[in-house]
Amino acid sequence: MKFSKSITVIIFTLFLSFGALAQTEFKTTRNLGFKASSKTQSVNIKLSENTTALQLFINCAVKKGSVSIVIYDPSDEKQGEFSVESIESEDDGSLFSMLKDGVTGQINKYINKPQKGNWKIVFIPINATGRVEIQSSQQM
Amino acid sequence: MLKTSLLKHTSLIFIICSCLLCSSQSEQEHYTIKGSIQLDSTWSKKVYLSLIPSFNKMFTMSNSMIVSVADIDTNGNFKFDTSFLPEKEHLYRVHIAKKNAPPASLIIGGKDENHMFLITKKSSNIYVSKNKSQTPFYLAEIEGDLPNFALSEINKIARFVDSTSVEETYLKREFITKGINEKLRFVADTSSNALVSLYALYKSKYETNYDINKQFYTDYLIKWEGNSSTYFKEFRNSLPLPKEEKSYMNISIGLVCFLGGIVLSYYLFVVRKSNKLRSLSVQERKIFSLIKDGKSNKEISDELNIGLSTVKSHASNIYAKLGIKSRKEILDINV
Repeated sequence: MKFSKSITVIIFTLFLSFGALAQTEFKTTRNLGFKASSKTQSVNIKLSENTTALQLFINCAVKKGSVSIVIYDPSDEKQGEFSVESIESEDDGSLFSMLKDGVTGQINKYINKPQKGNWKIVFIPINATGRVEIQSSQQM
Repeated sequence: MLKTSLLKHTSLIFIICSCLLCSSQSEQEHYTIKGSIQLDSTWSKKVYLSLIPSFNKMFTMSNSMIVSVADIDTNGNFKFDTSFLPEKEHLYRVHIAKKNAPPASLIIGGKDENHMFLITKKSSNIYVSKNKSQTPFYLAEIEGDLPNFALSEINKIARFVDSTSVEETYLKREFITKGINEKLRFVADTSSNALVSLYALYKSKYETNYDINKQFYTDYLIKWEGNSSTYFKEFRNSLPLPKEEKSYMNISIGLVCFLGGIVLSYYLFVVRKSNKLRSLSVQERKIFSLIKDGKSNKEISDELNIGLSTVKSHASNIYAKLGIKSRKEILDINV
């Protein structure tokens, strides 16, 4: 009786372990730089039938100018957006002049069972100097 | 001696009363945004207030938008003086920054979401309280005035959409989102505060559901027709209401109808004239066709061997029967 119980526990543990092993994570990181002459760019993230969750982390830092970032799902519907804008200031002791360290914006998005297809992240810089980091993680 | 002492005491009482009155008056006229927030050591001890000039810039971070900065004391309290703010209500964002990030930094989503929105004006007294939790402004309570209480309620409704993205499937999420957006439109429709109403609509992602709720947006714009704030102007312009196209369409339809009317009138005129031709006698028809050939009364008289006065009499009969006034009009009639 004890033996059969032990066997059951072992089989159950193995089953769970295989289940855990079967769940894989596919991570990608991309870095883009901007300078004044940069034009609109986009990054595509292709989700297959097997993707069970999508996690997006976009971090944008701008020293000068502005950048808008928009996330589109495969139906071309906006799923998130933000803009960062840094305006140069004179050192005149005002509040505005104290905020000259640049501007950053960050978006964190977790989507369970996301729509399959091409997810698109569009970057629209306007005379911007800065960088953007995109981390995507797909669970399968 | 006694008199001097009494005078001194009276003066002292008068001065104390005046001071108390002045201080109570100045306290009444001093408006602030106060708050209490519990932060861990990764955050800098400053809080920033930004004026959001349009609802489309709710998620725009710019150093030029920050209008005030306040220190967070060791107990987590902060205070902004609002005496320099505009008289009219505007949308503001309160945010904090990480120690290693610039003051102008915005974090959207996740446990580090670092901002919240407020509607305030020069004469507002607002208190923001936040119990300790992982996310700095998550479910912050706002006391002081009704618009901000409404804003908190809208945030609670809208937050359902975010929670569905974590738990539900795509189809179920779509279904729930539709329901939540409907609820937000209801809030927008029933709110008496213009900014609260617009806030609810922007949270409902109105641009994605405009096509299926056109009537709602048309009625909504009529309801707020008198509101001339920049927030409303921007909203009106952002709606895909084809105002210009609509008027062009109306002009085009009008023009087509007008031209159609002219063609129809001309057709009816010609048909009526040709029908009237049947009412002419045999002799009159002969004279009619000769007039149409451009012949004068004399020439007709010679050709038909009838007197000139008879031709004139027939011609006037023809004019009367056809409802015309000159020979030129006979030339225009198609037979």
